[in-house]
Amino acid sequence: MKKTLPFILILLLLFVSACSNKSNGNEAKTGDTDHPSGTITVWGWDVAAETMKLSVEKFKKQYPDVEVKVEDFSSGDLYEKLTVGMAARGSGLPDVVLMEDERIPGYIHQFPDGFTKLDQLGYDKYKDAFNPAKIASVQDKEGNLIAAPWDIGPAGVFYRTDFFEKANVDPNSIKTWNDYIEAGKKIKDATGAMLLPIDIANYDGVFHMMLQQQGISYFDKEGNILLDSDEAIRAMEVIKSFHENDLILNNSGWDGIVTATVNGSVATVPYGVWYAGTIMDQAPDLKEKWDVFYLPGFSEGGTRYANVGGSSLLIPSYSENQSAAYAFVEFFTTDEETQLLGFEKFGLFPSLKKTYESPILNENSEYFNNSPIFKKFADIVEQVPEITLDENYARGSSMMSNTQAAILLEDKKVESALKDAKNQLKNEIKK
Amino acid sequence: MRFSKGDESEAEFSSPPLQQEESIQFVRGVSMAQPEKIISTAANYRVNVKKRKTLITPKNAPYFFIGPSLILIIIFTIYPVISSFILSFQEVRGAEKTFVGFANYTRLFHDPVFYKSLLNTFEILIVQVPIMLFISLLIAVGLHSSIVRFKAFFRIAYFMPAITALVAASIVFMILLDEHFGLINYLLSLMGLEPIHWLTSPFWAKVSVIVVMTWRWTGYNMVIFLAGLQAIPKELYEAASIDGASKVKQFFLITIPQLKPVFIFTVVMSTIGTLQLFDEPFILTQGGPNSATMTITLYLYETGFKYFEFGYASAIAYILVIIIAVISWIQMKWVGDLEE
Repeated sequence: MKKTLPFILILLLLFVSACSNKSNGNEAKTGDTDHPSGTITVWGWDVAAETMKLSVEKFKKQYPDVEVKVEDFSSGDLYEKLTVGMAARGSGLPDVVLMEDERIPGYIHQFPDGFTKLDQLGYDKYKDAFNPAKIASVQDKEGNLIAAPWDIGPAGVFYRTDFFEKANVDPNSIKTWNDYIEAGKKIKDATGAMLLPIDIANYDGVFHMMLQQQGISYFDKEGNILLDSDEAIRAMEVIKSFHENDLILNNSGWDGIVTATVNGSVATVPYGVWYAGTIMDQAPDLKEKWDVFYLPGFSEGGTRYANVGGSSLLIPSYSENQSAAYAFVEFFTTDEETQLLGFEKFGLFPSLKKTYESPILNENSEYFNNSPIFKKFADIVEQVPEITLDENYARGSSMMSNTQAAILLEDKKVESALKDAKNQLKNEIKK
Repeated sequence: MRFSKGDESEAEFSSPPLQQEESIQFVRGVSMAQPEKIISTAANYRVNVKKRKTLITPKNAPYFFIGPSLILIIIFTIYPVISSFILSFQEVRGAEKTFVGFANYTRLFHDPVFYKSLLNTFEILIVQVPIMLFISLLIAVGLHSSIVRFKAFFRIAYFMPAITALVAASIVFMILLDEHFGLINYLLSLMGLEPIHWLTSPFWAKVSVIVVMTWRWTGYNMVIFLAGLQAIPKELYEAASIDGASKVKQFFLITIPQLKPVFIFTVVMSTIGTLQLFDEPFILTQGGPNSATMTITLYLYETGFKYFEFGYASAIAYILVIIIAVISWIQMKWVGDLEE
């Protein structure tokens, strides 16, 4: 026994070291840059993954030797798999991964060497092809391009034209959030529909849009927390008065919002442009009953533009086939036809500037009351205020959802609740 | 490889002649008078033991049997336990780990969300476990009695939730409990009642979690109680009836005391299970609204996978381990003292 124990231990050590030794490599795995070949895996979700699948055909014409495997997860699963893979130094990761812009700073902060810097592969030549705010959101703190910009989400308010008509409300008259609330009351009286859906406990998107149209996010450039700023208080007061007037449909989750949109429980949905695709997809029989106006402002003449979501493509630095991965990323994000494909099919709004001149984007949309709604969105892309998205975005967002619930469901005072939120967030970040 | 006694004797037969010669010479020095054949065999045996050592002997053989599973346990259980203990004193960023001493633990003791999640977990524990065990016992006694028919059907029906995939079940409950479009609120509205904010009000969200947990685990505990009931000797009841004890008296004076070990088991298991509560709030409410259904493990998950603070998450895990150990110890001790 005395001799077998060391034996087992040695065996064990060998086994363990064999396990951990595997993926230390960060050597150049660029492959043949001129003629990329081999198989690459791409992760995405939902309609975005669908678009990538559709783009493969044209991509193969340019790069016949590259096989592209698109895997479709829910975005939550995707982030979890990505986090675990990154923490495990790259095991099981794809060659290309889709990520929402607000998540990028968090991942770069946590895994500084986890993603390939795209300028090294020559992507910087496209810098001017995209809208600058989008480029800013895909750079790290040193200004390296970490992700290739794909879609963006200029925000607007989708509304039911028939409800507005029935309540005799002119959408063009809605200029401020107060006008919006007044319109909401009238519509509720006339049709019984709520004004807008908000998942109070889990989603602070409307609040964040309101912050952005006033030019701020949860943090400023220096990392100061802005949760108790005048802008934040103003925004939360508006949301509180939605609630006091009983205009919010408190709904859980994405499915709840979509269901409410489809079955006529709500008259408007303030969201990013990509929600157009969801409406068209889920409610084909509501054709011509939807249209869009810009977000109401906080004062007459105030900024009415914000951005919700948008995503970009990243190449994990553990990818074994960087040249093929880069070829796909480059093709997918800069090929005009491919960009418009996702737009046409699913309403995914490209950030590639030259697509904004294309006729598809400028023509009237039959579904949306025959108005040129996408042109409306394209017009405001340049005017959306640029805000700071940093690595603590996820914390800020969940803190605000909690605070929103505390204010609306537990009757906390707006100002003190926001102050508490700020202090708690400060504690969490300071560690 | 072989390792039995037979193995040795076999080795003996196959030893080469040269060796035999050697051994004869060796033994000759000891005693010349003995008949040669016997000497050679005995010597051969001795030499054999000295020279050819088999790796595996009857003594160490068991270690080879448990070896593979031991290795797996070390890799997948002991190693993670140790490494997460070390991790709880570290801060992780990318591949870099830096020691921060007790910083994670001191932060934990100042974290309002942690206290809230602790409080939530105990609230759920204190309300849910007694209700569930009471219902389980009731059903078990019912199914044990001779009056009820179709016992097998009921047993399966009550046990079914315990083997259902929890994610699927929770999603079904999420649909049932939906405030605006769910079946339950629809039924309430048919009865003329106001809709209940099942998942969106802090109080009802907790109730929802408790309802789903009870639905899932009642049948499981029922089966354990049923087994306990069946193990009680019938003679006790016969003797009691002869002495004129009523059924109710028999229940309280025989059944309950006899079930005591089963009670201890179910209480300890349910406590440990509830302290690790994750799936139900994760799917139903994501810990909301405003952390009303945030449990310790859900908070652990969020810090680890949403905010990438693996070190802090490990510290939470270790505090949870200590809490579970202490509570289990108290329960055992308390019950043990009563037994004396």
